[in-house]
Amino acid sequence: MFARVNKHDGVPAYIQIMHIIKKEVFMGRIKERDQLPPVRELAEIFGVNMNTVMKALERLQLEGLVEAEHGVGYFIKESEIVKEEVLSMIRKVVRELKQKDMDLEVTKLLFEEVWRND
Amino acid sequence: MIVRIENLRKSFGSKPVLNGISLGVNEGDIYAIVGPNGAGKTTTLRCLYGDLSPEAGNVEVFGRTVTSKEKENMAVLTEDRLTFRRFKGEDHLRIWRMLYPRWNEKVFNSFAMHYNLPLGDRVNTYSMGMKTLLHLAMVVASGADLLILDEPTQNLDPVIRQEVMNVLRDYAIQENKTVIISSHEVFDLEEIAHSFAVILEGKVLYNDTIDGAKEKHRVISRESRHSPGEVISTLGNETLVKTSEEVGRYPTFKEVVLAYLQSKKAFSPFGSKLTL
Repeated sequence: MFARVNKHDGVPAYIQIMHIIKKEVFMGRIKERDQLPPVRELAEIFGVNMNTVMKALERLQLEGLVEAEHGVGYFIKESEIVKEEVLSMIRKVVRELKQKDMDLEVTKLLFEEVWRND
Repeated sequence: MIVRIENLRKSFGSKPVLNGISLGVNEGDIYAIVGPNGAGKTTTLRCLYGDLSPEAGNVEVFGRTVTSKEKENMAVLTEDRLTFRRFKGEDHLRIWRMLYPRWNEKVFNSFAMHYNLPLGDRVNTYSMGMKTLLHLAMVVASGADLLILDEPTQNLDPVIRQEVMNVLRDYAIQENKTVIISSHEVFDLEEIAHSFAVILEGKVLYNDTIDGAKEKHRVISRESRHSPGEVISTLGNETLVKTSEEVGRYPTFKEVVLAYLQSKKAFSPFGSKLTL
């Protein structure tokens, strides 16, 4: 289910892991109160050191997305973020862009540029 | 800490090779020693596994200076690969099996079958890649907690190279092994290493975890007039700076390594600064 970390990218591995977990939560493939796989298993899935996984989980904990239950593992916390709303906004924009025959890679570049300059 | 090297010095004749190397490797770490040819990578490793005695400085493995007792727990892939060229593959295997109390025959056999290692042949009839694979199979099967690999991917084709790196990484994660790899193949190291040291002319220029290095540096446009931190060196039309500010973009591992190696080259003993 999880994507692999791209080691050749500049973004630190633990940040990529945070992004991947967030994405899965948004897509609803991991639900609230679901337990994440054990740290050692996550390390294998992502192809990283266990310390890297720990760092990602600690950051996610600080951000309030996951919570640790001592001796049991990490769980996805219930959150206020309106995931459905964000997703439907994206779907709407994507549909319109597709109608205009926009290319995915170009759109991504434009998106980034506009995001940064806004 | 599994390995601690402090201020290590070594010369060959009048030529100094190591000029005060210091580094530490934690348990479960995959530690890369990166640097160009002649930087002192192999010499550092040979001092570490007791093949060379240092002139000055301290080398500790598992918290002690290296004796034959510690060596049961260390397995080495040497630069020149299998030592006894007239031995058959199975002769090497017999020696390793005797040397390592926690030898794992199953692991070895799966390697030997997968790569079709001709164990009945003398190793001087092996190709360099075949020798590397047999040697690596023995290192992984040794059951040792510390694996030392000198240029492990040299002479391996891209497919096997990728496969070997993945095996090493999964093995290190699953079994909590500590691995030290020397190489100048930055791309390969990036795939599996967690921490690294960049060495040049027998000195450590920079060491950190890979994530730590990415976090502490940024790549900014060369034109930007205001520098948010210490300039390490230029990369094409960009500059690598050490900073905690959120500017530019994160550098790749390769960019960090290159920038540090070049920062040293820009030094000029004659007073005029060389431009890259």
